[in-house]
Amino acid sequence: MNLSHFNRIVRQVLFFPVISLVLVAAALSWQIFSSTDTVKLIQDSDQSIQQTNLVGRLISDQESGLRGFEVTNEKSFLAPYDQASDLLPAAFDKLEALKLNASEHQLIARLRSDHEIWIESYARPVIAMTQASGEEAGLHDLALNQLGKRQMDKIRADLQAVVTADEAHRARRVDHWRLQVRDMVIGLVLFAVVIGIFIGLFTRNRLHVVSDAYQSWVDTLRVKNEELFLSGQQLRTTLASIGDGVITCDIDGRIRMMNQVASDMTGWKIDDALGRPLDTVFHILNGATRQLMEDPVHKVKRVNAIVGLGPNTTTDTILVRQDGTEINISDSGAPIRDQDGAITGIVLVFRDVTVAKRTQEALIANEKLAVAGRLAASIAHEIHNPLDSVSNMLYLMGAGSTEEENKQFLQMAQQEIARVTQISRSMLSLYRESTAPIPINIREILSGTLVLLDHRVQDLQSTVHLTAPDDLTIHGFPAELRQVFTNLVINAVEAAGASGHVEVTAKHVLPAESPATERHAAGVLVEILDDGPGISDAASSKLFQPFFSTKGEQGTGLGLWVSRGIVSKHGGMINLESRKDARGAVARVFLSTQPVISPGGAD
Amino acid sequence: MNNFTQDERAPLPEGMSESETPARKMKTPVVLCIDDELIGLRVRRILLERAGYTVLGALDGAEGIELFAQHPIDAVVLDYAMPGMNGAEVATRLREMRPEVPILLLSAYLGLPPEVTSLVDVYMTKGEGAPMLLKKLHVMLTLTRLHGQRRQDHTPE
Repeated sequence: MNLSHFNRIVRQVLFFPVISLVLVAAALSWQIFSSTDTVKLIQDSDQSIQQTNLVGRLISDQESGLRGFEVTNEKSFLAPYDQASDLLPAAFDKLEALKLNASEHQLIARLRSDHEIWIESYARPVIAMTQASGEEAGLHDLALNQLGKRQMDKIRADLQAVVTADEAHRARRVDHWRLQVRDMVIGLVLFAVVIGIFIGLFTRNRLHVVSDAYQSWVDTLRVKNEELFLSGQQLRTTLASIGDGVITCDIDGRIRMMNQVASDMTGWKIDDALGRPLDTVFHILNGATRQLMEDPVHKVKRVNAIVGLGPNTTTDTILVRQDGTEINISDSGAPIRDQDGAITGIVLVFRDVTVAKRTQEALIANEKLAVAGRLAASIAHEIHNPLDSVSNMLYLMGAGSTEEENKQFLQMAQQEIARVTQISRSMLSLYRESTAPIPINIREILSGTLVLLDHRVQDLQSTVHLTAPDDLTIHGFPAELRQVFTNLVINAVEAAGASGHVEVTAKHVLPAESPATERHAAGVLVEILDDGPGISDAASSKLFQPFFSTKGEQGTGLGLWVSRGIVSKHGGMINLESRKDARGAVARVFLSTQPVISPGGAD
Repeated sequence: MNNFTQDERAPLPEGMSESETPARKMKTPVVLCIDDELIGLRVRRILLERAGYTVLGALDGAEGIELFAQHPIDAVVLDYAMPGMNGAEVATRLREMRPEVPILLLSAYLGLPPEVTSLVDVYMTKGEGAPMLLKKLHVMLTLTRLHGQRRQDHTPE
C-alpha cells in the first residue's frame, strides 16, 4: 500500500457516512413534508368545523332576530336578521370552498337548501305578514310557524350532521398523522440502524485494508531490520577480522568506531577512544623530521579524495602509542560520502610496517653487499697486480741486488703501494658514508666509479667513454651516488656486451629542462647510454620493482630499486628506457644542485 | 733487451741444484712476457733475466703477437686482463701461429673459467709469488723440451 491508496481509504471512510447521513436527512425531510400535509388537512377540518359553527350562529341570529321582529314589529329587531342574511352567502361559499370530501359537500349543500327553504317558506312570509298586519300577526298563523319550526329543526339537524361529519373526518386525519409519525420514527430508527451497521462494516473493511498494509509494513520493517543487523554484523566482523587498523571518524574528527587491531596498535582501549578527537588517539609524526603530521581529517577534507598520509611514499609515518612507544606505520585516509557526495566522515586504514621496514633495510644492506660482491673480482684484480709486483721486488731485493737496483725497486714499490691505497680508498668510499650532504664533483664520482669498473668492463670487452665537465657540483652523499652509478654502468656494460660501447655524459641543466622529468630546479643530468638490445616492453614497467631482474641468478633484482630510493632521497629523479634515436637503452639521473635531502629515504 | 750475465743470475727455486739448471746445458731460453702493467712487467723481466732467461716484453696483446712472430720464442708468460685483446684471445692467436710454444697464463683473477685455462699449458695467479712462477716456468720448459726430443727421436724413422 502506498500513500495515495491510504489517502483514498481515508476519503472513503470520510465520505461514505456523510453520503449516508445526507440520504437519511432527505428521507426524514420527505417524511416531515408529508406529515406537514396531513397537519394541513387537519387544520382544514378544524376550519370547516369553525365555519360550520359560524354558519350555525348566523342562522340562529336570523331566527332570533326574526322572532323579535315578529313579536314587536320593531324594525331594529330585524337588524341581526338582515346582517346575518348579508353574511350568510359568503359564509356558505367559504364553507363550500374548503377541501372536504363528497359526503360533507352533500351535507353542506342540503344545509344550504334547507336554509333557503326556511328563508323562502317561513322567514319572508313572516316578515311580510308582520309588516302588513302589524305586530304578532305572524304568530297567529300556526301552520306557518309549525312549518318554520320544522324547517329550523331540519337545519339544526343538518348543521349537526355537517359538524359530526367534519369531526369524523378530522379524527381520521389525526389518526393518519399519528400513523405517519409512527412510520417515520420506525423508518428513521431502521434506516439509522442499517446505515450504522453499513458504515460500521464498511469502515471495518477499509480499516482492515489499512491494518493489513500496516502489518505488512511492520513485517517488511522487521525483515529489513534483521537484514540491517546482519549486514552491520558482517561489517563489524569484517572490521574486527581485518589485519589492518581501521578507525572511523565523523566530520569533526571524533572517533566513531575502531577495530581491535587499531586498538592494539595505538594502545588505546576501544571504549576509551570512542568519541575522542582523532589526533589524541592517532598521534603521528613524520619519520624523517619528527614533526607532527597534518591531521588526517583535515588532509582528507582538503584533498577531498583518498590520501596517503605521509608526505611521500618513501617517508615513514611514526605512530606514537598511548604508552609513548613508537611504531612505523603506512597509512591512508578515505572520505565517507553521503548520497550527495558531501564528506560525512573519514576512514583511516593503517598497518604496522616496523618489520617490513626492517626487512627493507636488510634488503638495502644486502644490495650494498651484492654490489660489493659484483666488484670483488675487479677489486681483487686491481690489488693483485701491484701486490705481485711488490712481492717480486721484495724477492729480488732479498736475493741480493745492487744499491742502484734497490733504489729503483723502492721507488717502484712506493708507486705500487700508492695504487693499492687509492683502490682501497675508492672501495671504502663506496661503503663509508658521511652523515650530512657534502659538495660532490660529479666528474670525480663518475671517473672514480669507472676506475673500479675498469676491469669488469674489460672482461666484458666493452668500452666506456665519459664526457663530463669539471665544474659540475651538487650536494649529496657520495657513496650512495657511487652505488647508483655503479649499478647503472654495470647494467649498461652488461647490456652492451662484447664490443659494445657505453657512453656516460653529465651536463648542467636549467630548471625544468630535463627530458627525464616534469619539473625541477637547476641541477645535473647524467645519462648512461648503451648500444645493447634496449628494454623490452614487458620489463619496462617493472624495472624499479624490488626483486625484478633480467639477469637470473646473477642479479639480486634490487639494484634499480635501491638506486631509485637513493636518487629520490637526493630529491632527484631516475628513469630508464629504450633509446629512441638508436639501438640500446638510456638511463637518466637528474640530481638537483641544492636538493632538499629527505634522510628517511631508502637508506 | 737486457741480457744478464751468469754472475747476475737469479737464485734458483728450491729443490733445484745448479748442475740441473737447463740454462747451463744449452742456449738461454727466450721468454715473451705480455702484461699491460708497466711496473709489473719491468719487475718480472728483471726476475726472469736473473733466473737466466732472455726476456722480451710487450705491453699489450697486439705487440706480443708481433714479437712472437719475429723472434724464436721458447715460452710465453701471458697476463689475462688487458685492454684490447685479453689473454684468452692472445693465447688462441699464438697457438694458431706456433702450437708447440708453451704458454703460462698469469692472471690477477682467481678462478678463470675452464674454457680459458684449457687454452694454455699452465695457469697460475699473481698472488702465488716469484719462486712458484720460476718453478712452474722451469717445469713447463723442461716438459716441452722432453716432448720435443721424443718427437725428434721418432721423426727420422
